[in-house]
Amino acid sequence: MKWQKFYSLESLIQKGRQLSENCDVITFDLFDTLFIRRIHDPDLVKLPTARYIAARAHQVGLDLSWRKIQKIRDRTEQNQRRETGLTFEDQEACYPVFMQKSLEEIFGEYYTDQLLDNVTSYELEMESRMLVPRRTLVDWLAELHQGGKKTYIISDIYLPAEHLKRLVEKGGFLQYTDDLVSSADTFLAKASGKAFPLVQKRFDLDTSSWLHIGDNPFSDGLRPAQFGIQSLVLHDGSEKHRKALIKRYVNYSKGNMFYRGRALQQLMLPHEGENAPQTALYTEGYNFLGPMIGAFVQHIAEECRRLNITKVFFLSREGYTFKKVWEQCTPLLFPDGQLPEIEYLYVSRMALAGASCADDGLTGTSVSIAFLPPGNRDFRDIARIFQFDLNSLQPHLERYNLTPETCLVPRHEGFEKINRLRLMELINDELFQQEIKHQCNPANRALLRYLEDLQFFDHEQVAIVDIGWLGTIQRFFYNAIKSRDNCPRLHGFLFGATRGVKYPEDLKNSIQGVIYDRDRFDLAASTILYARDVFEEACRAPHPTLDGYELAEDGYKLKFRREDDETGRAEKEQDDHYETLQQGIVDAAARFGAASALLGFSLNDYRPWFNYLMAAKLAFPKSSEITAIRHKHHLDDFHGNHTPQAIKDMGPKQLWNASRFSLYFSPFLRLRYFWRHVKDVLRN
Amino acid sequence: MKRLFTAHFDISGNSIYRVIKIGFLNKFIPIGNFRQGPGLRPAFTLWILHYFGRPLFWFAVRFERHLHYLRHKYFRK
Repeated sequence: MKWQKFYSLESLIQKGRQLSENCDVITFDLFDTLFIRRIHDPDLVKLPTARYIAARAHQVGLDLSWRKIQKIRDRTEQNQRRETGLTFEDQEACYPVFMQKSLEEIFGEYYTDQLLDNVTSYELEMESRMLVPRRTLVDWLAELHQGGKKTYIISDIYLPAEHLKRLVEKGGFLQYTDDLVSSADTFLAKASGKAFPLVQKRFDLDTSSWLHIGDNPFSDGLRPAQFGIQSLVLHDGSEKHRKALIKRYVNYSKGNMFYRGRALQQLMLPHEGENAPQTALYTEGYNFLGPMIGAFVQHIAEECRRLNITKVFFLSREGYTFKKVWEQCTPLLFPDGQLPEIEYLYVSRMALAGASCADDGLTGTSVSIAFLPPGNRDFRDIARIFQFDLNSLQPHLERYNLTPETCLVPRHEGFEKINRLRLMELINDELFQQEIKHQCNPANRALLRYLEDLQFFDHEQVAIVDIGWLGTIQRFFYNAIKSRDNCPRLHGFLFGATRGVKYPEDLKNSIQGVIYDRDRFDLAASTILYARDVFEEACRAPHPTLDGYELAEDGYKLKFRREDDETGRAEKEQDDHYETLQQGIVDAAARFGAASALLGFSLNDYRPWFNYLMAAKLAFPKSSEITAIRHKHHLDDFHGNHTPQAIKDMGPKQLWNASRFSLYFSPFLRLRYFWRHVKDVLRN
Repeated sequence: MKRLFTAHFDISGNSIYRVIKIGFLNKFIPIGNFRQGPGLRPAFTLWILHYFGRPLFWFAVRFERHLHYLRHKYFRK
């Protein structure tokens, strides 16, 4: 019987369909035939397992590097193959056997069967994340099975059939196979041809009506042909092309840090049926924001482990996406389970502003923050932000010749310096501050009740995760809770920290910008300032913002902003607009976890690539990218409705706000904006 | 609507051509810290592989034996 080689899947399936009409049995090879691998070298999947074993060993006090563990595993596997070779023609190995021996050698008295189960489960999970079912071949397999043919999978691999079944089940085609045969169970492999008589005997098959499909010319072509089985071998140039690329990206990443992030993205890319056409927003979520948010979350998890942080609070509303990404990627990145608890915390600047004044009253810094947005101009805006009752404060204002409408900001018409000085005097007034504290006390108490409900004060160190930018939420939050004796130490992790107002760091309260921090000169990362609103809108939870905390009979009540007014409707429209982008980020997170665990890199390894990514996508974007991603509305109750006297005071015009015409036709537009940006960064 | 992964096995919206272009620009204008950057040789190899890999591998899989023979005869280290 002669075997035939095919250079494309379509021609193989076409021939297979013809031949299968006269066949009762069709057997398939599994790896590189029914499954393709995302990675070029299957041995690389073993490395995350070695890291996991090293982490578990560390937990019981054994200090072994993952490289050493990998060597032990390789040696044990080789020994088993050598021993098998003494009795059998094929030098096969069986995973449960050599892994048990490896773990016994590594852990000694600490070895348990549960440990072997955990390691096996993790390795199979990693393996399954790196496998993609070949859609057209699986469709044909299903067609054959439904047509009444007997279909079997035969594989030469160290994983026993039981493990292969788990992989095939995850691949979604176990129901189309009658059984699976692995060389690990019998040590009779296709390579020597011994597997075929075994399968024939076990399932009582007739070789004359048997068709075998595989990818190895020797094991899947020559050997079955020698046994009288018709066989078709796939020699797919396209697959070799894809693997040549991922191989180069991974190899370059070892010596050139720039390619580490690129290798990560190549590993994350969808294949076969996964690579369906998507909207431009989904593509940007998956290919641009997804990897960066994944690395941001990975960095937070690493810091939590290093600093013994026991709980992570993701702040609403951007924390919603970060939390989802955490849930998707950390189980694969940190399989030893040494991770803090996570919680979504309902906060907002508006809700915390009032609660933060209960102990210290209204401070000069809080007033400065309130007057940062160009639309805020007078005490009425302060009262709106901090949720003060103006009627009760009116006598105090009058004592200092101020009214709620007195202009207090230089950028607005009617500003007089004396009024700002009067405001400062008012802030120093004891009676005024007593009234402020009295007014803010209920909101503060309600916040504390909410935090007690979340067992916030049971932890000594907590992480606070938010998108950015000044750290105002954490500032207000800390001011609201710092008087508690059991106030935990707050480690703030911001996606980008612009630090426009100096942050009051102390031993119990600190922030760091992870992707961008103004305290760390990074020109490429600073391009995040081009489109801050886009990052905010992209990560925002699809629920209304929190307006405040209220006391209730049974404790507290979270008061959310109404959704039925114009602002609420615009926000809803915006959420719908970014829904696919968010979906892209979340879908990328699961693949990010597997890819990053396999490569063993962390944020600092990916940083050069992310720097390129931000520069390319934010400072030098294609016009179509800006028009697709930029937000329609950016709504914030913190901003007032006043218009500054001069347009120039609204701040410089941004590339991302430029008209479509300018984007397409204005010469050197991006370079001009970038030059202005460089000057701003150097000046600040 | 477009796929996340192009027919050249490249990232949609972030092709190797764009990487080379920004990397080249970074040689003249300080854009940011890309560490070694794309590098001339890796970038060229990847560009060839992405854009001409399809015909190259079409040829390579069909004449694998002959190419192996030539490689061993003339390029053996």
